[in-house]
Amino acid sequence: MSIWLLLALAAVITYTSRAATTAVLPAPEGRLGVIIERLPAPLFSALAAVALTDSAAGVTDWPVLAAVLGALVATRTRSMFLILAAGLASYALAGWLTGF
Amino acid sequence: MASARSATNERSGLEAASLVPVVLAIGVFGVIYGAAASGVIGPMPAIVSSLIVFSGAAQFSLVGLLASGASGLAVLAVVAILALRHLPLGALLRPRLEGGLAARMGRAWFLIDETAGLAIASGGSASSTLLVAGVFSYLAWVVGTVLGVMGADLGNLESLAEVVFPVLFVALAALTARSRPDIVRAFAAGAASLVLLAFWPDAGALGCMAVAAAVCLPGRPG
Repeated sequence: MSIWLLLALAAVITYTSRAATTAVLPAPEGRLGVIIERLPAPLFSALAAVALTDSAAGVTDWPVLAAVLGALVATRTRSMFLILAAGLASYALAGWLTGF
Repeated sequence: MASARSATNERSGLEAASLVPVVLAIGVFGVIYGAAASGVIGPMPAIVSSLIVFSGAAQFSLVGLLASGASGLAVLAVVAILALRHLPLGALLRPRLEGGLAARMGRAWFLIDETAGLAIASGGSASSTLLVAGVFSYLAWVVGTVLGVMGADLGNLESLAEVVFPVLFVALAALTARSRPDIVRAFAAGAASLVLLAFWPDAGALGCMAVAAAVCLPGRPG
């Protein structure tokens, strides 16, 4: 299989998966609808776990852990900007303290 | 009235400011992808892949598998499995998107974890947020790939970019948790995902999405 055909098929698969539930399939109802309604917060929490373990040193990367903790503390503000700022500031502070 | 408008403008400004680190982080990973991919599939296919696929998970996997000698069919099977993560995100966005089929089909192009999250958590129009965040993220990914292919040097930016995504998802979880049961489920999904990844690192995002869906099953509290 040529690289161009492979890329084209990968693009078709990826876009189809994006458009399927966003645009084509009917909105979920019944039990599935209940799950979808409840899903956002747990879903992003699960993705945070994935992103945390994906970082270079995984969950032993102290500055990254500090960033997550700083962000968690700032969640009380319910401001995207402040949560991001608190996370990045905690990362910088922990990096400075641990000499990373 | 004026103070309400001022508060709305301030909120919009802060939302726009929140987009900056996310877009920069996507650009940094674009540079890393461009540098890695050009050595495996060549400079032009690396750039074209970012133009037509626009999925870091799929593209990094594609390049990694090809580098290890996997067949084209094996690569496509992995791309298809990774693409399954878009199904719940699309289903979450569907009721929030305005416009007809063509408008939703167009916006679907910009569906990635980060843009979907920003759109769902947005206090304003999810359609507009998806479009704006998507366009900037797409441009950052493509420009980053081009710079990577050209051999750009990132210095320490890679480690800084790595921290943006976990923090962003914590923020998105917080902003989409609207009740105490939401908060309980979010903590349960995060903790269970960490345990899952500790024992089965290959479970990845798809496995953790299944965990998140499991804690949302009807019959459980909330």
